[in-house]
Amino acid sequence: MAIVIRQLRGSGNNQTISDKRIDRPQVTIGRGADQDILVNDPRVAWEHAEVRAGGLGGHNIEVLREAGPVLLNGAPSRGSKLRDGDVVTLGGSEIVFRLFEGQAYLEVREAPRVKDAQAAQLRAQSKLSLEEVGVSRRRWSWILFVLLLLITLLLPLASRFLPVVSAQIRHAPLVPSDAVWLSGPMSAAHESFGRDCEACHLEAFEMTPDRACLACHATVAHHDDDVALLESSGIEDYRCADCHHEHDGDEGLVLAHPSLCVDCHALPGSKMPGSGLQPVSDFDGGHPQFSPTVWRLDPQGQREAVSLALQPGLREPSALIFPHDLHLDADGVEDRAGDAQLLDCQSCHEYQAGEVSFQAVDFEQHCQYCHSLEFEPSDPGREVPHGNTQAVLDDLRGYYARQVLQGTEQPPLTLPRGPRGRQRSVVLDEAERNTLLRKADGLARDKIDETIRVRLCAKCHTIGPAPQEGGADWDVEPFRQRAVWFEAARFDHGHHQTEGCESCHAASTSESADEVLLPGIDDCTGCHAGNASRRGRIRSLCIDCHGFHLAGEALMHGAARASSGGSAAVP
Amino acid sequence: MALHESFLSHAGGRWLKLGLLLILASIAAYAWHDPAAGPNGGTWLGYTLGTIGALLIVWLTLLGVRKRSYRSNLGTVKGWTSAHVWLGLALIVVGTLHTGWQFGLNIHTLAWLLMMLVIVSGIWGVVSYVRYPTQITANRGAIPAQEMLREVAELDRQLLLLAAELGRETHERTLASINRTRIGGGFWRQVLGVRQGQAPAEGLISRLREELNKPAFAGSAPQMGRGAGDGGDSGQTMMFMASAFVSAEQDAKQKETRRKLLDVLSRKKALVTQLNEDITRRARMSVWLYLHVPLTIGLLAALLAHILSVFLYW
Repeated sequence: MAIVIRQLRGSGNNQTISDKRIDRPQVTIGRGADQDILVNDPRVAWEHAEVRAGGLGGHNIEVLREAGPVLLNGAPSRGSKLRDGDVVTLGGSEIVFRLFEGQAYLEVREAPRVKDAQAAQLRAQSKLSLEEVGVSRRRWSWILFVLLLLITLLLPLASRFLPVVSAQIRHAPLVPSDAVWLSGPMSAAHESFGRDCEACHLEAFEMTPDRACLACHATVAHHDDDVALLESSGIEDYRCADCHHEHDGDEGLVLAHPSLCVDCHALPGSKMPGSGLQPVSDFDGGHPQFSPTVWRLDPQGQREAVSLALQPGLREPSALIFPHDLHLDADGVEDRAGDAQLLDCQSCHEYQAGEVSFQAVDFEQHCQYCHSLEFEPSDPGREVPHGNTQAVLDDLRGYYARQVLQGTEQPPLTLPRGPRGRQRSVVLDEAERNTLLRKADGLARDKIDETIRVRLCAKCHTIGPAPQEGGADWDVEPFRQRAVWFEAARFDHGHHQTEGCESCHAASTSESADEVLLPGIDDCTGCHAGNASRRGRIRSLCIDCHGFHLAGEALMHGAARASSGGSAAVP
Repeated sequence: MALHESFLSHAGGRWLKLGLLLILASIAAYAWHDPAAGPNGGTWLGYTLGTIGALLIVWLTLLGVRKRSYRSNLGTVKGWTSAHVWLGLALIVVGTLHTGWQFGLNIHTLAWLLMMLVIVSGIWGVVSYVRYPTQITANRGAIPAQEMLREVAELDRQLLLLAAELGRETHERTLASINRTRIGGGFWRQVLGVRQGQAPAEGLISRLREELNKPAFAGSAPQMGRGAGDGGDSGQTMMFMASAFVSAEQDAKQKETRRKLLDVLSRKKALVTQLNEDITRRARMSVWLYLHVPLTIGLLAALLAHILSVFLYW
């Protein structure tokens, strides 16, 4: 396929045209004398480029290996398909490709002189600054902006507000849902439904309302039964979530910060007028003396619970005669066999794991080993039951009735002889039975009044007037001692096992069971500091000892406990 | 006074003092504040620091707008830059105290992290603006890059004229060398600098000179064929020309031409090296912006999501 080289020289009227037909499918361009198109310019290589006719009538220009790029329509190029009218600039020449009626022409003419052409070429193949490289800050900014908006906002929004895709987004791995909005770890208690944000965040842009909490926690006790006082104190205006923080692990759920209590309790006079509460600001130096609840006898002799500030000599009428000092004697106490038994606190007060108080002291378990309830010297080993006076009475009656009937009672029972001097049959008439019963009752009553009352029960119990049915007119007074003295506080003996009992309870010098052997606040502050950690002492906050949801009857937000029990306060 | 000094100490260090004041006030408030649930972004101080931080981020971002609006009378760009630097540094404290040191795998920490990356890249920028302008001036003198480029082109022109006198092969080599001459280059080539292997080798030039001065080598050095080398630099050209030189039996004039060629080539090499160093320094001076700007825009997206989500799930 031939290519015609058309050489244009001069311009205007002086322009000359000479054609040269090349009967090869390629035309060589360069500075060499053997080139089809000779471009005599030092910037051009001997063999610089070739124009080739392609198979389907197309033409291509290709720059040879070592040569520099040509300018194709002003842009550097090392090879390209040529179209009609394309201008190839090389050195000081321009070659225009023309296609006319199937014939390819290469018009060669002098290129317009470009000032600093060498510099322009160098400039074209150089990138002098980062701006010229094509890395666009603007483009990267947009990419990052859109990507982050998608990850942090759009997908999470869709997972919350587009029910169609909500489940897919939330359960697909690695797809950002509104879980990426979590500000911190869920509490263990709420983690199981933690992916359902709307379980607590009921409405968008609304703080978590109490009804979201009460949907599950409907039976939470109020902070006190005096709801009117709570309302006037302002605590009713708080939301649950103001104090119970989610997304802060387990610590946030029950905040320990003293300000939650002290904000009101430091100034009960103004915050809770009429409450009668004492101001509390800090356990160390800002806390009143402990006030245990003890029993007291009213003028009618009835017991009533009163809260009294702990003071030396505070007594609780326990109706028990138990000198701790005697039982804790360093030489031991004599048991019923006459042997010395060395006792300590744990001999009678057994610790209950997980409980505030100890197991109740039990006569059979803790006392009877030494303290026999034998009542009849002639019948050792026979003891009356403990704990119920009427039962003791009935037991004795039966015992002595049997004694009388068996004739073992001294003096021997003699019955009047019958007619003809013969011994009568064993069938007794009513008068005879009454005689026997009176005798047995008399024996039982004598034993209760004179022996048991003085020797057994009264050894440990005070005896008061209380007529027994068919028996004595006295009774053992009921035991009056609180199971829990500190009703508004918790104390775990298990956490204090490193301390000896005596460091809080002066039992070894106590002569009477009426003495209240409780420690005062000074016994605690030796080890426990207040809100701030003091060197060498333990930082102690309000809720280390005190609960919060203390009401017996009232539930949160006005409801009252339905059942009459109303016992367990939820701490 | 140099530019970098003036924007850092603009208006008697007004913004430096304001930044320090903000830092001290934030730290004092944080130390004094004792929220019930521990420090976090949701306390009154947390909201306060967060609001200050968010407003600062938006305002400091607007420097990008202010510096492009040449007609604006809203303070000088220098003043804006000074505020941008010092208040941006104060943002480290304000933003971090806003978190209350609560970090996690969530968008809130992501926003904080982006903010810190923006600030760190900004510090890099300040260091760059302090460090490189003096180096650039020392390297280039007062000659603009465009002028140096023109000088290289002039040397190229001289090289081609000299080489044209020395026959086809010498010319081709020279031309190939010129065509391979790249000033600057791609992103990493500009930032990392042109490696020794990519620049005309000084060692090669001295070796060629030695050979030139040793007549013993004359006629023994092999001719390098066309296209024998593929490394592609002007050093190869020189090696070829040196061998051509020592092997030649040309007359003194041609020898003198070759000497000139070598001389011009050395001058070009020195100039290109100088220009490349200039380009590298200027690239390093502004490369931080390629992190700082996209990260800032990314931060705006994360900040929007952070604020919106916090109040959406209040």
